[in-house]
Amino acid sequence: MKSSGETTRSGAEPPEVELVQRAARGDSGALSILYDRFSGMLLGLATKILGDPADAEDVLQEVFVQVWKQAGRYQSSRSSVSTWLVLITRSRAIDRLRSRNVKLRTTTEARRENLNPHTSPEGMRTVILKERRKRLGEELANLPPEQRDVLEMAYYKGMTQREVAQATGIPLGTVKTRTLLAMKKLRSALESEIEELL
Amino acid sequence: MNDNPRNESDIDDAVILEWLEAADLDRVPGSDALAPSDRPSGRPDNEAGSREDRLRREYLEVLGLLPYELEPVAPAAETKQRILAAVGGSSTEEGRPASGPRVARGPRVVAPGGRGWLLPLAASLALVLMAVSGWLVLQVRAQRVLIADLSARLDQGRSTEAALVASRGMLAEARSRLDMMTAPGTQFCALRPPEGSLASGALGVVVMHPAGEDWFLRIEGLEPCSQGRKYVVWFSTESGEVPGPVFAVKNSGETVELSLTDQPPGIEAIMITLEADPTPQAPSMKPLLFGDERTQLL
Repeated sequence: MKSSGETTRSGAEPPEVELVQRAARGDSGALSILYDRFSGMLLGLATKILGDPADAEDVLQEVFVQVWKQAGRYQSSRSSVSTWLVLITRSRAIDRLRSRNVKLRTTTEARRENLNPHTSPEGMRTVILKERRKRLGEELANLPPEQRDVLEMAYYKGMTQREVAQATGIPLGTVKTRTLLAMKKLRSALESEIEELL
Repeated sequence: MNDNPRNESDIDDAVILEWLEAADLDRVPGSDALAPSDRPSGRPDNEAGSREDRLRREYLEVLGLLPYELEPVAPAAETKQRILAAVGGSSTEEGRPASGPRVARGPRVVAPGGRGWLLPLAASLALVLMAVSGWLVLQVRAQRVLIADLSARLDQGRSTEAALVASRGMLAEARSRLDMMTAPGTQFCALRPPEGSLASGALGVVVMHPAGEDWFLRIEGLEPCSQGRKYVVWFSTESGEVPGPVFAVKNSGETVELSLTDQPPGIEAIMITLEADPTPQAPSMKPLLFGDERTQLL
């Protein structure tokens, strides 16, 4: 188990916490490595939320500039670097979604516009990322559709529980129950992945 | 778990939904509770607070793991270049060790947001410069108008001054002539056309100062000179005719006034002829005007 919130990596690759610390000291090379490791995943998240590749690229740029600015504020005791980056990206993307009223599109549509494979060498060769994706895909697929739906509406569309209830016509209490169940199942199922991040 | 003041289910319910809706870690209610402890993250702890912190952290990481299900999307190559340009680095710095020279440089000397205020500052300066330039242009135009006005007034003043000087000169000359004519001993010699003269309508007078200097000749009624000819004043003396001043009449009825200097001694008469030679040695014709009588008033 890692104690610094870093992702297990092969060879002499610097831990992510160290990269953030170096970025906080003004090392743009460290930011460059962080970009190579996470930009593909983060752009996938921004694209999923916004549905527009150009908007998603803008968000990605904003995220890494914000990371550069706020690297000194990162605390490894609060979250892993990966989660920190994900939450910044999600927050930025949802803010843009709300402010610009970007038309949501399905993941399938977004993927159709982004046929280029992820070419970042580090992203591609990192086995753990592939494993994570596989594990997450499996565990999310194992969720009952009604639980997965409310979770995705809250997570990727930035909707509150009340908004989900209004959008789906499901009672608010039911929405909360389904969301809580989904999160608990995921926490239990992803125990090993979470351990790697702690 | 049963010894905890809050059971796991309570923590789950309180945390999960709030965090899911808060999205940003900085906006997550209660997330600061994860920070203050100096203990290594994730280290088992028997205290209830630590278990709660641990649970909070685990759910937060679940949120961080969710997007790993998505297919990664390759960003455009320019995106990374733009980011590194914005933060003051370049793509060639990738992998540079933290102990390298760039790290030693102050981290915020090249502020990430530095270019953010440069543009408004440059725009503000440009506006200020434009305003100052416009004000200066107006000032220059006003100064040019003022200079032109002053220049015109100066020319007018100079012209007036010249006229005044000329008037003073004329007045001084008139006073001088009056002084001469009213001085004791001053003589007057009338010049009249002799019989058969071609200038029958002309008349003149010579005012002679008793000291023999600054004589004054005034003639009127002479016809304009023909081509190449000039009128010549002659002084008749015992030794013959001595040429004096030469003058021309351009317009009919013109009055001629001359100052006579260097008169020869022993002048007996004064006469006027019209000569073709500008430097004649002797009159070539009978006199047009002649005078040999002197009158003394005082």
